[in-house]
Amino acid sequence: MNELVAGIVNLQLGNFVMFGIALILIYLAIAKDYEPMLLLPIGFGALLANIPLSSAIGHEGFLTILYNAGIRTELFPVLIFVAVGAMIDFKPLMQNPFMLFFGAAAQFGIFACLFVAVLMGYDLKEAASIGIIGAADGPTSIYVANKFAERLLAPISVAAYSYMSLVPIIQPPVIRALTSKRERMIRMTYHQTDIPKIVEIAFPIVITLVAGILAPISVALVGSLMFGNLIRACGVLERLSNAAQNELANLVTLMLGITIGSTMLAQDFLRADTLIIMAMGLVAFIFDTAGGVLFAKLLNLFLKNKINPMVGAAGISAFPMSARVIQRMAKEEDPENFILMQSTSANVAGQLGSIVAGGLLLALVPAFL
Amino acid sequence: MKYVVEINQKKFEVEVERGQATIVEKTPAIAVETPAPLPAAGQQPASAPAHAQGQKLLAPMPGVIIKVKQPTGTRVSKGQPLLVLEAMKMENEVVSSCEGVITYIVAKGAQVAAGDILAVIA
Repeated sequence: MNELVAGIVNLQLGNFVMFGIALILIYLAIAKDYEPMLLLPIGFGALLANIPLSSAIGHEGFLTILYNAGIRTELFPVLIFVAVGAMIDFKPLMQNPFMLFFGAAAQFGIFACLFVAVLMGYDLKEAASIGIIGAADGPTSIYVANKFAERLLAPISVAAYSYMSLVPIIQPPVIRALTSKRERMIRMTYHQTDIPKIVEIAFPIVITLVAGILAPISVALVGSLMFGNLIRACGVLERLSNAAQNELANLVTLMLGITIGSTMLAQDFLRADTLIIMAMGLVAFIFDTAGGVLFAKLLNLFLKNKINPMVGAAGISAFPMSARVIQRMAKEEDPENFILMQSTSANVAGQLGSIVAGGLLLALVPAFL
Repeated sequence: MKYVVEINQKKFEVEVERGQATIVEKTPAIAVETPAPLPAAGQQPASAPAHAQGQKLLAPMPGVIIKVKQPTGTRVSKGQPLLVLEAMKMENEVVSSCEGVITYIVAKGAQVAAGDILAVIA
C-alpha cells in the first residue's frame, strides 16, 4: 500500500512549481511557436524529472543515462554542430566578407554580460558560462556551460533557447532606441558575385586549420561545424548532407531537449541563481544588438557608402530570424528598401562569430585563472 | 546548376552547364542546345524589357518571383505592391517606385538575379 501513495506523499511545493514551469514551456512551444523543437522536449523532460521518485532519472533512469552519454561527454552539442554546419550556407558571407566585423561586434553581449557576472560575484568560469547566453546559440551555450559550470547548465540552456525565440521581440526596440529614422532608411546596393566552388570547399578546411591551430580547444566546436559544412559544400555527398540536416539534426534535437529538461530539478532550478541568469541572458541579447548597431554607426563615420546600422544587429547567431527582423524593420521605414542580403551576410557571420567566441572563452578563461 | 521547372503542371529538372541545358524528366532525357551563356529555364525572354521605354524597376536581390500582383497594362501608383520576390526563404513585396502604366512585368516563377529588370513603368 505504501508503494501506491509514495509518489503522493513525496510531492512538495517545489515539484508543483516545476510542473508549472514545465507546462509554461510546453504552452509557449505549442501555442506561441517559441522554438517548439526545443522548448517542448525541455518542458516534458522537466515534468519527467520532477515527479517524485521518478524512474526516468537517477542511477538507472534513461534520462540520466542520456545525460551522461550525450551532455557530459558533449556528444550531443557536437553532433548538433555537424548538423548545423550542413545547414549553413557561408556564400552570403563570402560575397560580403566585410560583414565578418558585425559577426564579431554582435558578440559584445557575451563579454559585457561576463563582466557584469564577475562584478556580481560569480567566478570567472561561471561568469563566462552565463555570458555565453549572449552567443544566441543553444549548442554553444550548452558546450561552454558544461565545461565551465555544470551546475548552471539547466538555467543557461533554458535562457539561451527562450531568448533566441524572442529575437523578434527583443531586437526592434533596442535598434529603434539607438538609430534615427534617417539611419534606418539608409539604402545599400547589393552586388551579386559568384563564389567559385573551390573557395566554398576551401573555406571550412582553412577555418578549421586556422582556428584549431590558434586555439586547439576550439577544434571540437569549430571542427564539427566545419565538417558538416564541408559535407554540404563539396557537392558529392548530397545524401550525407541531407542526413545531417534532417535525420541527424532531428534525432539529436529530440534527445537533447528532453535531456536538458531532465536537469531542471526543483532543488537546483528554484534558486535565485536561475532568475539572475535569466535576467543576465536578456542583458546579453540587448548588448549584442547594441554592439552590432553601434559598431556600424562607428564605421559610418569613416565610410563613404554608409551602412544601414540595423544590419549590425543581424550579427547575432539567431539565423535567419535576425536577418528577417532587420529586413522587416527596413521595409517599415521605406517599402522600397531591401537590406535582406546584407543582413543575411551579417547573420551568417554571427553564426560563425558565436562559435568562435565560444572557442575563445574556452581558450582564454583558463589562462586567467 | 540545377533548376526545377514546372511546365503545364509537369516538373522538369534542368541542368545548365557551360551553356548547355539538359532537361531530365523521369522518361528519357532530352538535350537542348542553348545559345545564351546562362539562360536558366524559367527566366523571362531577355528581349522584352531591354528597350522598353519608362522607369525600370530592378531586382534588389536574387530570388524567385512567387507572385505577380499587377498584370501588364495596369495603372499603378507609387508604393503600390507589384510582385512578391522570395529571397532567402523570405517573401518580399516589391512596390512600384513611381506612378504610371506597367508596360512590362516579369513572369511568375522567374528566377532573377540582382539588377534584373522586374518591371517597366511608363
